[in-house]
Amino acid sequence: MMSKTADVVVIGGGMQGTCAAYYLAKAGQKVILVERGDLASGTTSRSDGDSFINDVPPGYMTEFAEATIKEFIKMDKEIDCDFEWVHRGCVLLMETEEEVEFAKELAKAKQATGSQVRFMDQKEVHDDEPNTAPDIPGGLEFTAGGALNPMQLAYGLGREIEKSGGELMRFTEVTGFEKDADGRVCKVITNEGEIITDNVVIACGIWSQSIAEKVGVYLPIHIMKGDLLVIERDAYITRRKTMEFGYNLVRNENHSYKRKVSPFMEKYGIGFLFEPTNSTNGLVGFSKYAATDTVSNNLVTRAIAKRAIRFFPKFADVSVIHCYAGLRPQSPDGEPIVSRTNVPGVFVSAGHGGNGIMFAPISGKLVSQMVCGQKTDMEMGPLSLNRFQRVEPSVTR
Amino acid sequence: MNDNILQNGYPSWEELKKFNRIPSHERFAKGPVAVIECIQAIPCNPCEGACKFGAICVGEPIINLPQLEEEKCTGCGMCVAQCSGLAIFVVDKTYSETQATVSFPHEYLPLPEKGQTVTAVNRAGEPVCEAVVVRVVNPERNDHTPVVTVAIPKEFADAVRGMVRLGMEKPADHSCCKDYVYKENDPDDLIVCRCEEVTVGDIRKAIAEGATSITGVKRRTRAGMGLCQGRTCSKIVTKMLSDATGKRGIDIPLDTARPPMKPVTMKILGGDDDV
Repeated sequence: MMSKTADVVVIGGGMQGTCAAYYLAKAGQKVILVERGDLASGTTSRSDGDSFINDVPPGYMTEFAEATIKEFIKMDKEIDCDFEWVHRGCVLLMETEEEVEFAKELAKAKQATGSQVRFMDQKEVHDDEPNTAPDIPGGLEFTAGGALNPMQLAYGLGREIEKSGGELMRFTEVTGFEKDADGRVCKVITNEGEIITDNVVIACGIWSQSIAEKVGVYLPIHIMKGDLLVIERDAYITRRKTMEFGYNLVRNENHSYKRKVSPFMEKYGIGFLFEPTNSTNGLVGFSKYAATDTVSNNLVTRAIAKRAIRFFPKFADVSVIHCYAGLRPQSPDGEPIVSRTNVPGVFVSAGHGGNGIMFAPISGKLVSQMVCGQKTDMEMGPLSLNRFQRVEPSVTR
Repeated sequence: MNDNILQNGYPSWEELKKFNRIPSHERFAKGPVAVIECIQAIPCNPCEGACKFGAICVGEPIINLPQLEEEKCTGCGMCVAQCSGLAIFVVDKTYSETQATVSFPHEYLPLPEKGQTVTAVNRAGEPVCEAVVVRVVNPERNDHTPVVTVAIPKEFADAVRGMVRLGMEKPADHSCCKDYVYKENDPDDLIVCRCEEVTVGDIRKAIAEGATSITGVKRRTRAGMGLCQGRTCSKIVTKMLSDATGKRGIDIPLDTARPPMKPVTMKILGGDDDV
């Protein structure tokens, strides 16, 4: 087989891979994107799709989130693809007075760094959306952020990559790499032939670890499964993305806080999330637990339904039309790995956990800047792979 | 085992022979007799009670195929209207030197009249020959299942099992209604996925863009993401993919089946489980 040449090979045709390749192609690099299956055939098609600053703690990660939202808005204008971007913010609902106190503090902290967030008391929450359960004591309203269809975006970016002279090698599997005398990557070997290149971006979600291993990079990524329910069309619950505050509180600010949920919900990381979609149906989530299959867990879907009814009693009479599950590539601290590696020429954009869709544009842009040797939009330290090696210097495989 | 009835909705001659559904030559030679073309093990036995001569036996378990005691059968036809599967006929191969009669249930209006010439059809509903209506019976006990008897050339006695519905003499295009699966010249605006209103054109575009599987089409167009989970459209999408890729339909994998099988409300799903 003839070998091809590229400035950079992006491995993975999901949200991270297509975004990285899009920014690289836009920057004038000759890109080849290698994907084992079809575009968007892994976690990208098994996720919800949104981008909000509420999902992350104040500080660097909030800046990161705001940067990605800006990229989405730009993409929506720049690319010839309707990826169903709806920029209408979201609401977080509290369950207890204790959570209300935390929420007020968080609102202040986020406002201090310039985020558009507003605390709503019990009355405001119910005036805003009368379907909310009567006892919900408060909410936080975020103006920034929106929802999108990740699959459409991946296909749209695929077209853009080709338009900019890039190449998509779908249904092509990477089998190995070659390095030159200096230890820099110089070749990607696939079942469809070899690609001579100086740079490789590993963006294969949950498969990143096994691909990185082939080039001598250890990626600490484990898998966390999540279940989602799809509800029937035209069942109006609320107009915006709405989720519970307690789960984020535990994740981002106060790890010792205990939500008022059953032991089962605690064990499977069940939380409430509702995302009205562009197609007028809606996604209801979520769960987060260690598992590696994509079969919907019956008990988990039951718990999600129960949790949803707790926040919006109206859900009780709404039909679930199907359920699906996806696998999050999770890093040890839950934040993305957008980084150089110990192998020169090998870059990573992976381990985004439950925020992969959200952070894909900014991650792709930063990777592109690193590959091109440009100054990055953000400081890369907090996203660097080194942060784990410092903590666990003995990690080898 | 019962491939023809499962795939096409009517039994083949081979299936009828295999399940011993055809009375003997000797019995046919003696006059009218019931032909019970029931080959599926379904829980059903009105035929047993309909025969006042005790010629039909289903017994226990109720999923037994009905057995006909040829000698007890008088060919009276009482069982024809009672079979809810419309699977019983009376055939008289002794009607005349050249003609036989076939009696069949006919649940269509308008009913034919005695002496009228109609088009007789076979089990598949395909026209076989001309037939003259000999008798139309529709007493109250038939509960709106009229039984029509037609005279036909003897050689068609084993083939004719009905008649073309009056007013529908131009036979319907079965290639279309039996199993609609996409034709190349179908217009772009024809809807394939009714739940998500996805058209032939949308799917053509997805395939042109690189979709190679039902799932690939679904992710690009939403076909199959709706209420019925692709029960209707996946067959058509398979055919379109098969035409485009040259693969056999059977080699195009099905889309992932996802729970619940049917829409279920959250209060039932959330139920009273301790979750």
